[in-house]
This record gives sequence, structure tokens and C-alpha cells, in this order.
Amino acid sequence: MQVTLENVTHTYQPGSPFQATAIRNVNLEIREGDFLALIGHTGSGKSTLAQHINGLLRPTEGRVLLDGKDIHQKGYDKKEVRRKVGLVFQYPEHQLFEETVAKDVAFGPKNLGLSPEEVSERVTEALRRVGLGDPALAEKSPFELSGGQMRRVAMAGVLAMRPQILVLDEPAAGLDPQSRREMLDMISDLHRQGTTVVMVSHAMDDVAHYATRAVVMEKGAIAMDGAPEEIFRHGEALEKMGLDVPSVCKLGMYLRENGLPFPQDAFREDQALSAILTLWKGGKRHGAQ
Amino acid sequence: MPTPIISVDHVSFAYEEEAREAVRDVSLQLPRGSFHAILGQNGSGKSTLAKLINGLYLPTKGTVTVCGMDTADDRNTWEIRRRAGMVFQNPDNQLVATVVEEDVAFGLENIGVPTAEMPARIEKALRDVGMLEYAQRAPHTLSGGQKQRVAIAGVLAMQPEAIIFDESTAMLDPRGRKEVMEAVKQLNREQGITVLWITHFMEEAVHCDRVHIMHDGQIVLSGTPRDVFADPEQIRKYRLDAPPMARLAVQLREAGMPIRDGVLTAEEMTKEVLRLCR
Repeated sequence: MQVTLENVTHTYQPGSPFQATAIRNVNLEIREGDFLALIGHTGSGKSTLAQHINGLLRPTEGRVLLDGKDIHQKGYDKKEVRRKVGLVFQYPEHQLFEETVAKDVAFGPKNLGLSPEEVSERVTEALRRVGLGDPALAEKSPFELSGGQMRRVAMAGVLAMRPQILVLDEPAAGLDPQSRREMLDMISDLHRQGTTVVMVSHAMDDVAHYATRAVVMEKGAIAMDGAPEEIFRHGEALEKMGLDVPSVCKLGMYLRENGLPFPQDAFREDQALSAILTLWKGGKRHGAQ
Repeated sequence: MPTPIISVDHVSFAYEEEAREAVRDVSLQLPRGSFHAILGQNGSGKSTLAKLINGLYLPTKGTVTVCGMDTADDRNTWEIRRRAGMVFQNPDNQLVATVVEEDVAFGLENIGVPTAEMPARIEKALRDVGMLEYAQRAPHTLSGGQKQRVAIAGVLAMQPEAIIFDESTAMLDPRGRKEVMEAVKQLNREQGITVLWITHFMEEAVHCDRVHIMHDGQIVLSGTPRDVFADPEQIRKYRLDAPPMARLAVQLREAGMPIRDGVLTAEEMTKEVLRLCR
């Protein structure tokens, strides 16, 4: 399953005094198996782009293709898109509404017209996948749960549709460090089990640890697209766009400015550890001579 | 010893009678002009503590005093809230007026500041947070970081001695977080405003005078940032995480490299690596 954005431009409220073009001429191919991080400053167009992937927004110009077929063409089954591409909004727990966790998760699959048995099977599976497999929990009101758990319930609701592509808008925003790690580990597991993931994120250390590909948006256009090690080589450029860089990149930038050969493509803690130890051992040998 | 601006003395608090205490036997003192941070995971009791300090909640046990006034005495309530202002998490829930300067005026009207005195106070407060040029703007046209700075100006106009920030950067993007953090540091440094900064972002606690870690309603660890982050393993037990450079320092030390104690930022790590490798 592959999504292609072809020369996509999106203008909000065209023809009105509030007209605003959020993304312009975007070309992007989301490939099966990607864990794609969509990065950019607030207002860079990343959320607008994300909402095109499942057809929630319709391009003002250009096309969105799902496996080569234009999803906005007459006769194309929109429901099919929604089934295959799941979208998890920011703070999705604000959208919970049912009396019990199980009913909330069942809402989507029920609307697909599935049999009650199939619905219940999907609910159980989705709750297990988000780490809420305890049957007692399924009968609780979602509003009795902690913030982190509520977010998982909202995600289970999307997973119960069994999407092949999962688009998440800042899934870890507002969570404490441990819940954040648990949430990202869970998304990473889904990715390993075959779900294509597109994740909008501000947190560069998370992107460094989890993503296989990073797309940087600036002013409505794609400014960079590549593996995280390629993107994070351009620390200065990212900082100019108002973005953070992973702490290890910052360290690398400072060390290189001071003449130490810290590798350009090190951006995770484990890479920094071995790079610094190499420098240190090299320095000691040099000093002994 | 001079009276602390904020003093929390063996305070416990339960939301309902017989319910588990959300805050248990917490003691804390903020001297005038200090900048303290409280770190804790969601549900650790840190926001409850903030509300105890400005008198929104009253302790079930112990006493909270602000500028020497007991929060339990309801004659003090308004004076306490004026002297120890509070800035909350969601910028959209705090701004009430349709124009920025009117929003800052709102609090002044509530405490009965004479109209003639208002413009000067509003101007100063907006200038102090770098928002003076936005005085005539509608709040909804501002970014998250700008909205929070307007909320801070609203508190500042009341001429407080302390400000309590309850996760005031949690909903902002990195640029907004930096803007707000810089504005607050400057207020502390230049005007001596006492700051209590409640957060779960470790990197925001790095530059504070003192860090208190809350877990399960109690303060389990207090000290300078260097002391508190020296042991990343321990921090993890409280469902928090040490800053990346503190974790890296521990791993380098374990591998035999004599990195000095207390490295928290990329700048500090750079100095150490240069010292040892060049």
C-alpha cells in the first residue's frame, strides 16, 4: 500500500479575505514500511499535509493517489481510504464519548457494518495492541482512566479499523517521559508488525530514535526528505527553521566547531557514546607517543 | 533568616474525606528571588501542590504561607493570589478579552486598581514579556507562546512577588517553549520575581536553582539540578528521565572516561570532551 501526493496545494477558504495557502506543490511518496516523521515549525503545513493522506482534506490543486488511484476521482470509494489509512488527531482523548472503553473502540468497526462477533474480536485485539488488554478495563468508563490510558483507548479505536497506514499527529504531546516512551515503543511495535507509520512530531530526540525517514516542512513546502542521519547532518539549517535538533547533534556541531572529528551522521546516544570513546582512546594514544 | 516567599510546611491534601492523599507530608521553602522547579509524572501531585500554594485548595494537614500569610485564612485569599500569581497549562483557557491589552487590564480591574494607573502598568507588563507591539491584537491571532506571554503579563501587571507556572509550556511547540522560558528567566533575573516552575520537561529544570522531584504525592528528591540528575537510574524509577547529556555522561564514566560530575547540557559535555580528548 503506497500513498502518493502529486503537486498537492491546499488553500483554506479560497476567495475569502481569510484565504491562506497551507501547503504548496507538495510531492511525496509514502512507501510501504516507512516510519516517516513529519517535522516542521507550527504553521509549516505538516498537519494539513497529514490530513491529505487519508482524504480528510481535498487538495485545491494536485492529486492524492492510493496505490496509483486518485482517491478524489468520481466513483472512488472514500470509505476504502478511511479504512486503509487511520488518522489519530492531536489530543485524541478529547474525542472519546462512549459509556465504556469497549463501546468507544467498537464505534468505528460497527459503522463498517461488521458482524457483532467480528466487532468484538477487533475491539479485544485493538485494546491488547495498545497495552490495555485487561478485560475489566474494557467495561470501565473511558473518563475514569488516566490521560495516557485515554489516549491509548482513542488509538485503539483507530486500530480496530485495521488500517495499513497509520497517521499520527503528535501522539506523545503532553505525556510525561515514561508514558511518552511507552506510547512511542507501542507505535514502533505496530511498525515492526507491518503498519506503515506517518508521525507528526516536534521532538527531535524521538525522531532520532524511532523514525526510518524524516520529512521537514517549511512554509508549506518540503525542505528536506531523507533518512534521519542525512537530515540531522544539517543541524544549523534545522535550527534556522526554528526546529530543535537532537542533543547529540548539538554536541557534534560544537565539537566539530572546535576541531574534533565527531562523525556527521551520529545523532543517537549510543552513537555518541562510541564516537566519544573512539576520540578519547585516540587522544590517549596520541598523548602517549 | 528572612521569611521565605512561599513556605509549605508538612502539607497533606486529599480531594475527598478518606480518599488517598494526593499530596502527602510535603515541605518546601522558596526564598525571595529563587527559581525552583517541581518535576513529576502525570498524577504525581505536582499540580495539586500548585493549587495549594495559591489557595485554590486548602491543606487537610499542615500549613501553606505566602509572604507570611496563611492560605487557610480566607481574609488572605485575594492578597495571596495577587502576590503569588499563577499561569496555567492551556493558553486558550486563560485569555478572556478580545484585545491583548484589555486582557491584561482584566485582572487589574478585579483588584480595583485606579483607572489612571492602568495604562502604565499594562505597558510595563507587556514590555517585560516582549509583547508590547501586540497590545492591540486579538489574542486568537497569536501563537501559543505569545498567548502564554500575554497570560504572564496579566499576572505581572498585578505586581506579584512570585509566579507559579503549572505546566505552562506543555502545549507549546519548541519555539514557544523557548520564548516563554526565556521571558520567565529574565523576570527572575532582572526583577527578582520568585518562580516556581512545574513541569515534566527535564531540560527546563536544568537552569533552576533547585529541583524537587514529586512522586506519588511526595517530594522524593530535592537538590541542585546537578545533584538531582547525577543518577539517571534513580530518576527513571520515578517515571522521569534525566537529560540526554546526563545519561551520556554516566555511560562514558562507566566506560572509564573521567567525565566530571554534573554535566547536563551539550555545552558542558563539549567542554569535558575537549578537555579529555584534545
